[in-house]
Amino acid sequence: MGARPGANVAAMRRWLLIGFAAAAAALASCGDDGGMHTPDAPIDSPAGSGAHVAFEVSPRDTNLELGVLVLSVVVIASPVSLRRRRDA
Amino acid sequence: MLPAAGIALWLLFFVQATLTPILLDDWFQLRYWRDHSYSVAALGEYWFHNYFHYNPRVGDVLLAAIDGSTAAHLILTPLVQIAALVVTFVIAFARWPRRNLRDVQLLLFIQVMIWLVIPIAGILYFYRPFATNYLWAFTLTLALFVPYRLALAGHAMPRRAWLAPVMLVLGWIAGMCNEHTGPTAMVVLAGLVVVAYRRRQLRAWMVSGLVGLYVGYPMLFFAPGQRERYMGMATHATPSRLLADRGLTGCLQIALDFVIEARLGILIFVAAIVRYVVVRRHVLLPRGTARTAAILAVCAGAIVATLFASPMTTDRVLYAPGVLLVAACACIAAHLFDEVSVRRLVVGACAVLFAYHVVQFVGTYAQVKADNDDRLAVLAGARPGTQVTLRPYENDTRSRWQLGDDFTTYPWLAHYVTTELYDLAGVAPSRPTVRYRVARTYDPPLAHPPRVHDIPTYRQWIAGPFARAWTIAQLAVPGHQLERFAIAALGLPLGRPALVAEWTPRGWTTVVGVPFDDLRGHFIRVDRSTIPRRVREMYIAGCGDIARASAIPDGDALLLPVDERICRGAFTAFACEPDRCWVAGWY
Repeated sequence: MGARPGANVAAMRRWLLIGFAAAAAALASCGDDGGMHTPDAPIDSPAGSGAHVAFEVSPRDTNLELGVLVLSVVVIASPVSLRRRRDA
Repeated sequence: MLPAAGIALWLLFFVQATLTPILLDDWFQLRYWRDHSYSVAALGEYWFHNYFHYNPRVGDVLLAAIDGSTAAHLILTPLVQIAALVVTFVIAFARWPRRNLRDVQLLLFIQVMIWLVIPIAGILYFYRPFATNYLWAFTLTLALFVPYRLALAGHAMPRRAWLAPVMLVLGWIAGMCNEHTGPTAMVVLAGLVVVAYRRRQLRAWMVSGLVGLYVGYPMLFFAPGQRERYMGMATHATPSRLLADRGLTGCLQIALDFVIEARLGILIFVAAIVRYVVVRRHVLLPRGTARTAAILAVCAGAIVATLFASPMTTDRVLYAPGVLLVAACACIAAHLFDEVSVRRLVVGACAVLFAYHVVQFVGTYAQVKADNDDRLAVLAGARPGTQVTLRPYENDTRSRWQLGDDFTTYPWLAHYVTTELYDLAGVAPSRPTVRYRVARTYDPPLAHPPRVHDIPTYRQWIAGPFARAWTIAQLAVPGHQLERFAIAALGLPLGRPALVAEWTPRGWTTVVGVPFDDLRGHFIRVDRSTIPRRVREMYIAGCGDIARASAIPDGDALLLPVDERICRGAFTAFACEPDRCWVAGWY
């Protein structure tokens, strides 16, 4: 018995969506509250000595991050036009 | 379609230009223009001084130019911001934008991606000192590459003698723009000239642009002003020393920081690729597209790698690699947009994000500008020689969109502006300040000991032998023997008295701590030998808050990290015994 037409596409989309959502959530949760980094590791530890020069990071905008996350999922998962179609 | 979109974008940038507040570094430019009439010659003098004594970059002269003339700001700033988008498009696609819907969509994608990928988009675009030093500067650098990109892509570039001197100057200016973008630009431009030579397309202007860049960058890198700026940090922290100190993990951290800053743009881009793969089951890029995208991404990486050897790795220096990363993404996105569902969804997402940015930009800066105008009115209306009371801005902390209240972040700046620009006596303190009092006991006791004049502050006590000697000289009372003398700092939220210095027959006690910076960060460095034995806790007070500090042993000293997440005002350290504390340094 052959698979239902489009089943492969649906499965691939589902797994890609799950993978993307996990990766996106992880990536979106990165970042900082803004201001200057202070070293996470003890500054005088041998590995961290001097490695963590203060780095001013961009303050977060959680609305923007959530919006981007939602829009990214919409881009992937939207059922608007999954059929293969070339631009005219 | 393209002209309408261009006008709409210009209108946004123009509105933002009218809403631009005067903040932080802007004040220093205004101080200069207070003593100089606005002219090209004065700008030249300014550059000459900066080159030898301060920031030698072209960006600071551009800042002076737009800070000194509202007309110049309103005309030039929106145009440069538009140009930043256009040159990125040309670098990505080796052609000018065309008057069709597809190019408008690509421009929308590029603009939104730039705002998502670069750090602090609102500050980099609309805080003039950052804009001129980074956005304008890198736009000039990319502008240098535009004719090379077009010529090598096969566009007809007739021999034009006048172009050679123009490119020489543009190359020199591009070289003088930024320390961290210059090396990559030099390597890439040399590569383009070699390619042109091999293809027998070499023109005089190509060589002159190259020469300009190769003259300009060393002039910037070895500028005398670099020795004085940031207390000579650029010369003390040599690239080799920085690389050795950072090690592999430190360098990787910088690269990771770039990815983290760019994460929102990366998300949208990856979503577009995933959608494309879902629909078409593959993603095969044309060879030329893949090569261009790869080169642009490598260039972005090369600029980030340059930061490994740079003493300044703040967020704003990631503007240039961010733009190149966006250009690389745009090359691929143009191919992905062949799939109609990808194009519609990604363009739709970009339209939503563009609208969000517009709302944030205009809304935030309307508030900031109103606060800024109020402050300027108070300053202008105050009587010379008096103190003014200034209320903090509504948006007083730094965000993705705006810089925050510069006077709150840098309290010394308020004093500088009020005294240097408005001839006032300073700003009235908004909070209760620390007061210093002396305590003395004599044998036999004195009901009313004579007053001690000019009680020194902690810093005066540490730094000034004359202040100490003058205080001690006032303690002698005939017929009475001094048993104890102490200077106490009052008004501190410690729940215990805080002492600056104490004398008993056993001798003097003063905890000595001073500001200290090295590659690890900012600290108050406390001399261990001066810390009393009963001290159990260390605290740092700053920005109206007080927090326990974790001391880091460092030879004969303890380092107390200064955390500037909240503000960048004054910080004071305390070493506390169970029943009293000692002032233990400042930053």
